[in-house]
Amino acid sequence: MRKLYGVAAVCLAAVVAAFVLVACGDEGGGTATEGDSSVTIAQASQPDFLDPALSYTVHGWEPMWLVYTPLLTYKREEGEAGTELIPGLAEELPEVSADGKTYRLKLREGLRYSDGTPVKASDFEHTIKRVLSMESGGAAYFEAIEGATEYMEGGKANADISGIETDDASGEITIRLTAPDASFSNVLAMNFAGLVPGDTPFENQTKSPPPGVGPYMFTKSVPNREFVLRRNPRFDEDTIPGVPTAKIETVVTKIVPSVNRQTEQVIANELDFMQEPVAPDLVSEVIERFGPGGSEGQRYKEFPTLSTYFFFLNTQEPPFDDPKVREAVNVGVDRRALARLYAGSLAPGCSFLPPAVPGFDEALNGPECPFGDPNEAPDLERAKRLLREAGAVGAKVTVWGNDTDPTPRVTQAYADQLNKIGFDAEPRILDAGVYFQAIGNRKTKAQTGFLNWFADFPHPLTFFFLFEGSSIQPTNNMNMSMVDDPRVNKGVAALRRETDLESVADRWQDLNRYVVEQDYLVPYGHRKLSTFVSDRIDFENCTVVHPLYNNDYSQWCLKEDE
Amino acid sequence: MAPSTDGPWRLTWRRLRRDRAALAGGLVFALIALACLAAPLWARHVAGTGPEENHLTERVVVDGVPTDVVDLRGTPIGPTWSGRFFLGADSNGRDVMVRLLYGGRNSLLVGLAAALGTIAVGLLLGLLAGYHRGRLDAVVRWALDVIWSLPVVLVGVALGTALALGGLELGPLRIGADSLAIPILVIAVVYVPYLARPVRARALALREREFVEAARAQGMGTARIVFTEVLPNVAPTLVVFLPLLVANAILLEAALSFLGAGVRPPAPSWGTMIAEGEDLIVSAPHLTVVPGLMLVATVLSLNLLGEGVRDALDPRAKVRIGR
Amino acid sequence: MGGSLARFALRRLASMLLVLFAVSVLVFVIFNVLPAGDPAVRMAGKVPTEAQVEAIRAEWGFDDPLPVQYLTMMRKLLTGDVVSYFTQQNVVDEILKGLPRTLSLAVGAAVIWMALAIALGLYTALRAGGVADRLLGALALVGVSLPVFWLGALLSHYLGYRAGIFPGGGYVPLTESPLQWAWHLVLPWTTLAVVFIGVYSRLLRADIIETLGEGHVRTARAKGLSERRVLTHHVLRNSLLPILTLWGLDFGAVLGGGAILTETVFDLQGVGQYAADSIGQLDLPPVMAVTLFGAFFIVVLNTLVEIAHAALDPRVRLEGGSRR
Repeated sequence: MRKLYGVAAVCLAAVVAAFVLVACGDEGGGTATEGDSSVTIAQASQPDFLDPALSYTVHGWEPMWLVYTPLLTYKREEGEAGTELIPGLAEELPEVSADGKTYRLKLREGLRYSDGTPVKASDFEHTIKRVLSMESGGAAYFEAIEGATEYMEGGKANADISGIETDDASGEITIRLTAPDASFSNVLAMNFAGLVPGDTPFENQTKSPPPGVGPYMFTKSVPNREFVLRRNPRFDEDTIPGVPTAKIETVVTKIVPSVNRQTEQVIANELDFMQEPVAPDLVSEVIERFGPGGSEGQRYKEFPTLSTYFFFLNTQEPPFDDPKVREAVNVGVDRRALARLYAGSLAPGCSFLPPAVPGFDEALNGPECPFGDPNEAPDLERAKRLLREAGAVGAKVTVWGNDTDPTPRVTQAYADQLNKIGFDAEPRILDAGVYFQAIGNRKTKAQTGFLNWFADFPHPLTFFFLFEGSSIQPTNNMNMSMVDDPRVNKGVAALRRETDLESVADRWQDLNRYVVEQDYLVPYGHRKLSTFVSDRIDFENCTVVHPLYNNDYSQWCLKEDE
Repeated sequence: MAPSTDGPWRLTWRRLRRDRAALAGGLVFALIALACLAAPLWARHVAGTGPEENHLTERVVVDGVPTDVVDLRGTPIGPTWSGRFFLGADSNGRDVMVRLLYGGRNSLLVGLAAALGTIAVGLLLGLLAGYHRGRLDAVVRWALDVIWSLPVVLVGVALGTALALGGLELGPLRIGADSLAIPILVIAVVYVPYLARPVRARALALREREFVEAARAQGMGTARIVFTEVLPNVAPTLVVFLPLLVANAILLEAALSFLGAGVRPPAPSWGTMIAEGEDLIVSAPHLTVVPGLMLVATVLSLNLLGEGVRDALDPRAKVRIGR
Repeated sequence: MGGSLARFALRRLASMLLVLFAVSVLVFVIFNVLPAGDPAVRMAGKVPTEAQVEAIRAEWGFDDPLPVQYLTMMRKLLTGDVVSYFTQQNVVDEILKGLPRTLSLAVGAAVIWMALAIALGLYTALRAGGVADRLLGALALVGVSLPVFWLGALLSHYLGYRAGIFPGGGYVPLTESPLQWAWHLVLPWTTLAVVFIGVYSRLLRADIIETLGEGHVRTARAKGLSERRVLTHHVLRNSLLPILTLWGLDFGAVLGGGAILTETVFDLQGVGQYAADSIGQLDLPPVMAVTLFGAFFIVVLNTLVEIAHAALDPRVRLEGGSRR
């Protein structure tokens, strides 16, 4: 009997030891300090990178544009006003030479990063070098700079880029392009060009993001758990006119994989904001309770984004190398069905360019769509006939998609629709982390699959870059349709020189229509995203949505504030 | 002289016949299996659709009112209790009943195939170890210990995913990434120790019995002895384990599919259906409840049958299959 | 204690080392040999520039012969020099962060299921054949047939979201608020325990019934000992031992990876969920590490349990094996 007591004692000791281990090993959860205003928000997954040179997703840009300011930036306002460029770290908008190839800027004086380091003109060249040497997804935008390609091929991170000249003493920056590019000012305003100190290593800095000049700064980064933004004390009203300081002291972003849980927590006011769209499971309830005219006061709204959702069609692999086969797909796809899978937050359409981007053609999203009105049922008979005429009935197709909801369901629905048209289609779902890498690799020979594109800047070039022959790369390719059409290439190259967008909007419209009529893609709509906040945040007055960067955390205010 | 194998089996059967719970279990399982086998019949004649066909923009008449199969906000209808969409639709507008039956085929197939695989390998190893003892026994016991200590679900998921991109390539053996063979293999291997140990114990005990001694004295070869004397007496252990193995294999397959490492979408399986259903558990709870109930019913019926068989054959047998 | 125990312990320890070696080889085979394709690319994950793939190839020695690769892998894993290429985090650090959560879940559930199983087992054994016995027996069978993740989802939804009694998921550190910590764990504990309570209570019941019929119990009763003494001294003592052994094994299995489903459903972000997330992202270094450490833990715990069992029950030492 004593032995049994002995065993019981040992077990008890083990349990107690376990609890001690639990207690000691637990990390404290609290990150906000007493007395400061703080909000806790959630994302469903870790942003691709917390490094301005590398991040290329909405998840990463939404926090980071408030931390790193490039030479130029955008007005912090809603709607079309927010697409207007204003000087950022530069004093004025650039002085562009007559031939459009030289940009001159001067750095504002007395700027300091959030850690106190003075900002130097040469930091700009270093920032661009990081983008190029780390082969960032955004590198293509900066290849227009003279010497950029040579720099990348040279392989030495510390080599010089001949097209960028900086003078730390005067703060002058001169950039020379190989050819005029009307969108280059927008490129200068991209997150990739957010300045970082000249000693930032040529490595992914996600674990400890570098300091920047902006209303917020990073104070903590624990990948896959959380990261924390704190108001930058060195940034005040006058640092950059047009860029307001933050009202809320601390923004804690937690990674909460379940969108359902995020939604439930915002409903219960345990979470202040969710970056993801509201869970489809709960969207009807949220709209009823918190939508416009909701029963409990409005804390939810939807807003259109400059985005297009589509499927790419590899024009260099069978069966989609045959234009008739591609046409069959576009005619037979049911766009209303796909919209339902987005729980109503997708507006069906046929246009490649989204609304509010010059070149958008409203008629394409209605009866004038070459495949039939996207809001009506598709002409399945015509699609089937086209496929028969092309002799491609039963063609085997692998449909690629990633596993971020609702993409797997959209991919399956699309595959099913292809089967109805007469293909032999099978969906293939990959994890989101490896999706773009897999389909962007030419060896995969992806025939068709899910893609969406959010405007990097409000200019058609950011979309047409997807269809330019020069964009095709063997890995990390974004031109998945493998389009190398001289008409598109020449058209885009010519329009690249035109700095006055208004005057050439109709030529962009033509290109838009052309690309759609050539069935280089299967467009099906434009996404609406949402703002859903807890009742701590003053919804009516302080939730500002920027057309490019979505929710502007720096303009949030709490209801307690006056 | 070998003991007659006639008597014990008939006795067992008589005992089993009196165990109503076990009979009920067996019946229910048989019905479920039959229903799943008849999936194409239901699909074609009652529901009018296949398991992967989407009906996102269609309307069905429910209680005289035309209703969207999937409404504009993406919520699917619940059970209509009529031919089409008997148990409702999922978020892609697919017929849940049809997917349930087809999914059952996959789940049952994987479960049964894995269980048979376990029996094949477990039997072999157990007999080898128990009968031969010595070196062979030590090696086999050690191999079983190794398999026993692997974290089951983790390895299953890891294997399933590691092989997801390119499939399996081991010398001449190539298995495609989407093949059901991968989960079947994983599950079969994992349960081998649970069967091999009792078989080994049985073989060990039998080895010393008179009839085996006699057979050896008569000069019978090992293989013949094992086949004619040992195997029939190990058979009861197998019979006891079979229903429980299948039950656990089905549960493990559901767990693997739930984590995305078993049956790969869009092929239905009860596990993937539960995983998909959880996303809409508030607005469409039937998507989670239905496949789960089906799973529970199947496993429970098998467990009832298994308990009955064990009670009838060998009430003292310590039959345990863990997670 | 005596020579036989020491010999038994030594034998088991030697066997344990061999098993650990085999497990590590198996993990190596699973992750590096079996899958088709280039292991360096697989490990690189998200942004495989040529330079990075080459760096990984060099670091893990994929160009070396297999045995050398294995040694490299073991060295890296054992010294904690494993970094996930996705998150840039040291894998061992991440595991240590998740360990308290997994421990909270496993220990709590194990204590609950054991306590309830003993109570229920005893109760049904003493009232064998009665209504309560049959009812609990049926419930136990149902419990064993439930998929853990389904039960968790239903509990989380109906008792968490709908009824609002418990939180639907998430974890609160013990140091932050013991009350919230326990409150958030009630549903996960229940989910995990339900499955085991059934099995263990039935096992205990069978064992107790068997023991009750044995000689020494009858003698004890004949001697005039109170029923309670008979129970505690003779019956429980004999029946508990094998149950405790099994409990040790199952606890090891849960901690070593069995908690993965419950953690995922309730978003506890423990070691199991870390592994599941990494698997989903095809992020191999964490998965390798978790699998290896999980297996190691199970093996070591198994061996300790067997040695403890042998210490308490000399019969076990003789055969050199266990009564499984």
